[in-house]
Amino acid sequence: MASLEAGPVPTLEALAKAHATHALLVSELPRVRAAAQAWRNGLGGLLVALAGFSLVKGRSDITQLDSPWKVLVGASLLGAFIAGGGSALLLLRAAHGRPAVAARDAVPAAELADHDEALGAARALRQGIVLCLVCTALLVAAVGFTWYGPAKASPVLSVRSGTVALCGRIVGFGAGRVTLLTGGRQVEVKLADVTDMAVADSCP
Amino acid sequence: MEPEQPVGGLAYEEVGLPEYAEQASRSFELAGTGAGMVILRGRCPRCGLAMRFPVAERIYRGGDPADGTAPTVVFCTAEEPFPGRPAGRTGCGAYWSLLIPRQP
Repeated sequence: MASLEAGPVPTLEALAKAHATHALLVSELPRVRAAAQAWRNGLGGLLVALAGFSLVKGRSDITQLDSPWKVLVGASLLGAFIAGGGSALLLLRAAHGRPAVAARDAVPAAELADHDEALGAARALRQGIVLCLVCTALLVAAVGFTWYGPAKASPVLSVRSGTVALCGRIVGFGAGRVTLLTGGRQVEVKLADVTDMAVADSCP
Repeated sequence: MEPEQPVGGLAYEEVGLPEYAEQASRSFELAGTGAGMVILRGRCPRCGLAMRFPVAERIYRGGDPADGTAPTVVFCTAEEPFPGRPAGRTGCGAYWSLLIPRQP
């Protein structure tokens, strides 16, 4: 027997509040399930709308991006994938419950099981919403980096002419000569004198 | 005297008497605890029908957290129909309050 103690006679306001609280309690699992389904549909629509964003085209090839930005786009997409997957699982768990199996002796009273599930579903719903927004933000960031990130720099030419080694961007070419921009100045090299030539991403 | 059988012909009436709480504090027991919830089980001091009353610390969107030191308002939740019971209400109308010890 629980050690319960008698309390004072409740007021009518306290009774009305108790009725309202009781109504919320007995309906909490259907309410949280309905909310989870609505959020699932809404957030799904948000992601579909985001996909429609691709109607406005920007750069779509990340190989044209400068190296650190390329990595940033990749990391953003990976993060978006993980957050989106986690969000989908959490929202589905909130809307439809876990496919859990319990031992016959471990099944709690229906009220306890429903309340426990309602609190768990509400927690999963909150986490799913946050993860979906994180996924959206990362996708937007990835698109933004791809569109507005600096383009990959053009390759440089490394040449050796006799004992002189030069490296720089090609700014002119023709008449058996190539003009390189190296150290802030333009240097013209006669191709006939070149003994070694290589194209590189950057100068040493 | 604790009624053992449902009282026939009892109409719904919202009534709170000090003896209800006294009676319930002696006869009600905890039918289950967990997930921040306790379930009271017993017979309504007014109609004598079996009832269960869940009390939760936290409820999804709504309801104040149950305070272990404040009395919890309990009302009859017997499922049998009582004449005159308004829509949205349960039981025979009896209500009282109990001090429920906080569960570990």
